[in-house]
Amino acid sequence: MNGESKPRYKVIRYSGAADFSEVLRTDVKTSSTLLERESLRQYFGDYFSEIQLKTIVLEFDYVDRDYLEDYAAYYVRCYEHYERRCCRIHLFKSEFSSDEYDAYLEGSTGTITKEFLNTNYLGFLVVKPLPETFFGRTCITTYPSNGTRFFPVAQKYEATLFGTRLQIAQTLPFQEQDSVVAACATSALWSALQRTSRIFKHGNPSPVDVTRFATERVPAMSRAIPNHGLNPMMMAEAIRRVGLEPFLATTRSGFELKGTLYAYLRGGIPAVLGVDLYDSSKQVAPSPEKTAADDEMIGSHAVTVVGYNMGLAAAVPYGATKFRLKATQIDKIYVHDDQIGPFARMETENHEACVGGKRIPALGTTWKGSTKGNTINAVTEIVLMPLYHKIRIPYQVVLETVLRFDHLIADIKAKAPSPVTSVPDLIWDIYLTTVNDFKTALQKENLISGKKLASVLTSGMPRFLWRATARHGDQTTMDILFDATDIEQGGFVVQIIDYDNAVIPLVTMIAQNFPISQLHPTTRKIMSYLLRVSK
Amino acid sequence: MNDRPKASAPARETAGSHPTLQAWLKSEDATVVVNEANRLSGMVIDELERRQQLDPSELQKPFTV
Repeated sequence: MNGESKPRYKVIRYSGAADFSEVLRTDVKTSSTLLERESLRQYFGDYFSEIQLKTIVLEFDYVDRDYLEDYAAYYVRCYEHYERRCCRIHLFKSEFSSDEYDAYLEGSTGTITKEFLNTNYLGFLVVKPLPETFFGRTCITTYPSNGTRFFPVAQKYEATLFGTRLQIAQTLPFQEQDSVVAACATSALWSALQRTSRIFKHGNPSPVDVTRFATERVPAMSRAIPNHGLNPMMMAEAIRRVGLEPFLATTRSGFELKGTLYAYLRGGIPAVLGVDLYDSSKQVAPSPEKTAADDEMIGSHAVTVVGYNMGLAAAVPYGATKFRLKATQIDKIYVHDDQIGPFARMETENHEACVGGKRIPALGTTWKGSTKGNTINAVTEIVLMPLYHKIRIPYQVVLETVLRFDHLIADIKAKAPSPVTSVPDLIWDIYLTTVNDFKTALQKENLISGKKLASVLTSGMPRFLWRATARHGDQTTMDILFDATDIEQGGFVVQIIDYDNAVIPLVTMIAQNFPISQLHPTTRKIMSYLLRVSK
Repeated sequence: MNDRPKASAPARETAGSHPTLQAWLKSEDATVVVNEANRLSGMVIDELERRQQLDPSELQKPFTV
């Protein structure tokens, strides 16, 4: 093939999930096959079909930094011999033959060019020379865009194959736990830190580094490696060790979960989601104090949230105030689940688990239950975000401020004399952003122009902002920008931008005529800003 | 300032000085409405906060599967 006794690469035409399993067994020589791992085999089969995989190039004898770190930390001292080199599997969405690729490497002019390979590149999987769990760093392109799927934490990623630089337009590295230096929590954190290392410029820890960081100052009852899991305190410690601040939220219901995930994901920050898994096809025996038999608990699991699907047609009004948040249109989140695969789907609607005799909201997973079908549901326990230290104001504070403000307008609109009734009902889009991203977006959105636009673009703002955009129908009516770097007691309203005069004139009139000392302190911050700028 | 004004007619009416509305905002009725709005949104927020309280034992539970 390339003049050496040991082949350095092999080109294979892909024709299905069974094919991939066979490639792993005969060419990559994994000691177990995907056939033994039903969920993963089916997942990769479906995913490869979705991204239209046609050709595989195996790159043998590949040195993977992450695996090398794990190898040096643990595997090298095992009596059993483990290889230190991996096999990297490259994926392409066009068909080409081994002869054609040989010709390309030999410099001949043919079908294959650098541009051809780059245009058709779908990403790669590193296969580690380990038994059982062998998928190392995996960077595969996201699902194709359909207008409702969003992967705000996905980023460009480069790979070099025999001197050809290849680019994956949108991905976030994934790897499955090896159950030695990394359990699920380590893998989930590792993926999240791959993203934050790029946006917040910190070091890029390998899985073994993550486990060590997590367990150095929070000693476990037993040894840290082999690792059998991390608790939230350990995960938080690993985040601190890379120079970031952990932000922990506990949430179960759709409104809080969707709102929190959306707010940070849209700001480019991935979340580690800790869940309890329950199998609805198996029940434990009911006890006298329970009204229903509990679903059998499988265990506690951690995944990285990397995207969402805005599949619901309209925002769902929340609670007694009927507050409408855009994030409630989410019907699926996408996660790196080391037991399923990258960009695995979790459904947010119509799933419950019976726990303690009560039915509680849960996420639908693609895990296989004890019977046929996806019967395993995930009850959210924690959401953990690695944040830059300057992001101090949490989402919940902004949500409270906007919710109170929205309800004040709605109540006055409902009860004050006309013509206030013409003020529209609002849907709020709340998310974290940066000053640069906000100003770039404002230029694209074409909501304002002329001197007003120039005034906003040239005004000084903090690096991190919470953006709360109010809309009615297709019309954007205002933006409230909050300083994410402020303290909670501070004023923290940076700017309010009125786009269509539909709501702000009323609010300004309230600020000018109602004693604002009687307003809630959070609403007072918005009113004080409007009073200041109206003078 | 804004080169593309999009104000609807009734809303623009409120932008100026609407004497009825201004008078109402200064009245006891407005105070009652605002207090009720504060009470209801406070209730919703308390419920949100209550649901987010962390059981300290959860911090010790490892994610292992």
